[in-house]
Amino acid sequence: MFDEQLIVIGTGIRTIGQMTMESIAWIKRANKVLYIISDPVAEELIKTFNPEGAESLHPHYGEGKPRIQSYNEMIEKTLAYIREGKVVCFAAYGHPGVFAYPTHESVRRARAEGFKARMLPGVSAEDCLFADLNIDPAMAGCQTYEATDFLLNGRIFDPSSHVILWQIGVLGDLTFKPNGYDIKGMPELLQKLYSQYPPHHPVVIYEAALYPGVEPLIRQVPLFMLPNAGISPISTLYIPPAVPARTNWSLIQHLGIYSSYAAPVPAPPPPGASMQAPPPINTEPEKHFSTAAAADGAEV
Amino acid sequence: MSHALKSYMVKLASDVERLAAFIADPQRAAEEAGLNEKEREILFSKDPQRLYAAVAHPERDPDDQKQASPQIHGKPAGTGTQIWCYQPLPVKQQATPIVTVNYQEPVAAQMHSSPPIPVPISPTWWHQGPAAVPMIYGQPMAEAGPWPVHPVHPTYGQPVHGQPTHAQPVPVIGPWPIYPRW
Repeated sequence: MFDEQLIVIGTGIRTIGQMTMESIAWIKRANKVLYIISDPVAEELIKTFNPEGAESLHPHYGEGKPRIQSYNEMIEKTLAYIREGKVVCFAAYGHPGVFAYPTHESVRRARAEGFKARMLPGVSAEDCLFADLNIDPAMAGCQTYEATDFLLNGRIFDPSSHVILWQIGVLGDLTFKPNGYDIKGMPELLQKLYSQYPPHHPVVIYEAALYPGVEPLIRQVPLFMLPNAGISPISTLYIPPAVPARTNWSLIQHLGIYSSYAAPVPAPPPPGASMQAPPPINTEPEKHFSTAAAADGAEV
Repeated sequence: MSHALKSYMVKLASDVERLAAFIADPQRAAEEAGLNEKEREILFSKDPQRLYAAVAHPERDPDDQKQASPQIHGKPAGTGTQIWCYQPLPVKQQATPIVTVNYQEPVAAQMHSSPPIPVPISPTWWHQGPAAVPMIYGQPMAEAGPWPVHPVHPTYGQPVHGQPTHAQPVPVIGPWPIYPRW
């Protein structure tokens, strides 16, 4: 019990409040704490609790250097310390297992070599997005892609679901550029999105807050304005559903849950006083997918 | 500046009692922690750039670093770089499409000619009830036009309001360095 030789932890996006007690305990316990963190508070916390063993992995990044090369160096360094018999804590911002290659690969290789390794969950940017944008991925389904992977690998997406594209700010670039990225894949990304969304479909540029009291960046723009939306390397793109779900009414009847699905839709919330009045809504009775049915399904 | 603010933030991140006291009464907690007036002002400024500057370089005055960028490998990050964006078009070429899509009007033409159009509420959300409507600042997102609804970002500058313009370069990097890991 608690005899791991490699423990991978996340410091959360906002260190104050999102770093778990278990993570802090492992930072204290480890002989070596390797970290990829840009928040000075998290870095100071690690140095405070483990001044002997704290070591940054930032030097492995290099201007124009392929990121995969940096990641492999990090993995090798991690495993080298484990082979020396040290208890290694690998700390990364956010969730250490969400959009993080070196952390996963370190665990996999450590286990392959017979060492005990474990990853602890953290709070990811996507978790913050769900909270700040007030969306529930269960309501329409949610598809999450890394932006460059989404573009290059022909990912098929569903415009009736929530779609989240990570690392939109480093789109089309596989290197590290401390002075910023040119997002050169943006025209191609727009072309791909236009295949399913109208140009005026609202999308949101999102950046979680890093410090207490600071508001997250939530910038809503129409899709065609995306290139001008002030995307930064820490931006995440959220695209809300654009078309109705393709409900299989035959199957619903077959399953005998028609009455739940046909439940009346709750009244829409009143528009804000300072906002524009919404366009007229067709309130003709239809067979709606109700929230009650979704909740029932979740409980089952 | 001293290291007091940074130390206090580390304690907030690692001591649940301190964090509880801070949440209950931030001003009082900060005073009791011994932060001076300037440090408290920065802590409650809601300005991520000032907060970053204060904790990244506590030996300097964060207000003197407003134009300074974080250092990465000894080099300033985010200096003078701009994101890819639509280039300003000469007046005579305003209708030239930059990205043509399967709609009647090319995107570039829309950018020049179209007034802000309120986004219709997607029937998807209403089919699924109000809980499915994405909310921004307490308002259903689709009703929150004209774009954008977000206030001016302290780091990235002015958002584009109302009638779209397409010649606004935007700084590419925030007050802190970002280290991709995928």
